Amino acid sequence: MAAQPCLESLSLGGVTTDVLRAGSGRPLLFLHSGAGPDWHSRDHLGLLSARFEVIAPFHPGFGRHERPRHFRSVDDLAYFYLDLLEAMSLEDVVLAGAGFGGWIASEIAVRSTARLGRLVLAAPYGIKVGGVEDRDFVDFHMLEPAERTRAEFVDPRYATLSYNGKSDEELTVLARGAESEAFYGWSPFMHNPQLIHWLHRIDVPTLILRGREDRFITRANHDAYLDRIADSRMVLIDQAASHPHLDAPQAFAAAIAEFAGTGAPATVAA
Amino acid sequence: MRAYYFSECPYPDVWPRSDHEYIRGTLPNTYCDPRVAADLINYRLDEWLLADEIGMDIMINEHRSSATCITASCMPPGAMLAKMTQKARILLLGPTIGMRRDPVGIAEELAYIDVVSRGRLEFGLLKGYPAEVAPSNMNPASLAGRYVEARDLILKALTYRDGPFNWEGEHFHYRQVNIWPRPYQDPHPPVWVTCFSPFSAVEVANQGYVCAASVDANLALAIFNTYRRRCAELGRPNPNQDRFAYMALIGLGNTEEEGLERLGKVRGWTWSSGITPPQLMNPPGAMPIPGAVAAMKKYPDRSNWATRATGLDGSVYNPSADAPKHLISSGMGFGGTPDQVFEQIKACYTYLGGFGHLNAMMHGGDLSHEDTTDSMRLFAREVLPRLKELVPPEPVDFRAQIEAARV
Repeated sequence: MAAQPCLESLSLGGVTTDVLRAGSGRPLLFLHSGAGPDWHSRDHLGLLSARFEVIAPFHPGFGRHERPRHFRSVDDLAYFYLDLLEAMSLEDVVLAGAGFGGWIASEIAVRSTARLGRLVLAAPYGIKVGGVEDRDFVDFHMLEPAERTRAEFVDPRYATLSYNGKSDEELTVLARGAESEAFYGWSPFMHNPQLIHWLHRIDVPTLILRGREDRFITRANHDAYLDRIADSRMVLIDQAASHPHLDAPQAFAAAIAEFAGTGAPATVAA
Repeated sequence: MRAYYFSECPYPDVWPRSDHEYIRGTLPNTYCDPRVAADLINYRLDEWLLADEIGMDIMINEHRSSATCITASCMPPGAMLAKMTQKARILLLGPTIGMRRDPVGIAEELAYIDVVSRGRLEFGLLKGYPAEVAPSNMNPASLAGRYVEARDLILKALTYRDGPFNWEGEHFHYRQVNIWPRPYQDPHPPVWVTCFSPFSAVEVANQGYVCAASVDANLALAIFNTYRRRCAELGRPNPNQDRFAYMALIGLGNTEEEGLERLGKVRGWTWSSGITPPQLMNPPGAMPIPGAVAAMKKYPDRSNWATRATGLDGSVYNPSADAPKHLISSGMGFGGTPDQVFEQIKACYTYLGGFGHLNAMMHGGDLSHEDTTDSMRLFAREVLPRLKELVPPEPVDFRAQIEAARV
């Protein structure tokens, strides 16, 4: 495994956020779920950094910095990251988004794949395929906090909610992350109704990763990406629920390495 | 002093279900018998009518999706009472503007009620209880900004006289705002804001609104003094008593025992308010981040003002469970004979530096209509006239304090 990721501040277009960076090689932009790219663990970043130059920002409004006053929607996050790709002169990027970050990654890719080589969507939010009274996503805001945590992870280290021993700074990051995820994804809930109609614009090879134990998003929802994106495939990850990169970091990193052509075949079932 | 009769209009028949499920937000309405609801709502409307008859004023609130309060909107009862009462001030405390989509519609309904009542409306501009996020689906993370914009838009709609104006803000877009009728009171009915922390009293003072405190006298004193100090900082005179309102649970009887028993039933409100799913009480972004951090530090402990209070004598008690007389020690409630209740309110009034409005929750829990009206009549006949004669204590000179601190 490569060295531990280092934290840098990044200012772009008047927006300041933090970014974790590690490794070298083909650039991989990791867009996080939860409160940040190092929420609960950095193992997935370490594993990826053995093969890639990992760039893992906190979304604007997550981490140590407040949400930019003029940011209102996931559109703003998508344009911010398009600016970031350009500002860093990145080419042939593996864009990997998890959960909410998967939604952002999809919004980026329908706008432009000019700097992308591969797209990975791990348990992504972002589209809805069910009817008016169907729930594609569990209304996780309506779960008792400990119940939500139990449901979204398989790994017992993460499936047990505890704030004990955390500093005020760490709790602030958790609170800000929860607030910003709600801000961007409250209504329509965790999706953009228009996004599904533009997924056909994604013209780079795309990998959908889904935990076999995913209890939050319907299988039909994730299957819809396969229907709408021409060059796409799905890999199911064992012993993983809503955050495969945390529940099964080895399988997560291996699947991406194989897909991007930079690693040995992944040891996961298709 | 004015006294506003208030009930949250609870549906206590289902409260026993709280031994295995929540009674707010998630309890299916199959457990609501509309015939029972009709009785409950009509009893409360009759009590508000009685308040008008006996010289009290009227206070109505709103909560949605809850067996603790089946007044889902304060506007319908406000409109009915505007027509059916003669003298009472009608306080809607109030429309939860942070949880509603149409501020201009709220302004129109408020103006309508003010006109029908010929200028007897008072209204709150409230963010809304966190549990209202679920039934309204309003985004909790943008609540603070949305509230301020809705407030400003409502007040402009109520006061602008020169034809349609446009409003293209961050949260609300209208191109032709021009409400008919305009409010009866000019420029608009008095505005109230509820405060649950001294922090929030600063902005209420900035705007000069009526500051409505509740819970207990310790908290209310901190809130009122923050308001007074802020006025002094702004170079304004000491605010009048009519800028301060205090809500308390009240039960009067012909004996001390009867009064305390009624107070004990009214405080069913205190107990029931806490039977809410925790995820509804703290939706992400509904409170500023330091508050959210404090809640996480406490988790899973859910003790709050409803289960732990401190009396003015320093005693700690459980307002939901301990004997009703404890409520008196912190000013959360007043109970007993009329003489006792007068003395209790007078002591609280003095402690708080005076207040011009008493929001009197005289019904709660399963207190019967008969007991409620008896308690109200005792209050109006034997307590209220004496409260109106109370002389405010000498105000604390915050301007002098600020000057002294400068030197």
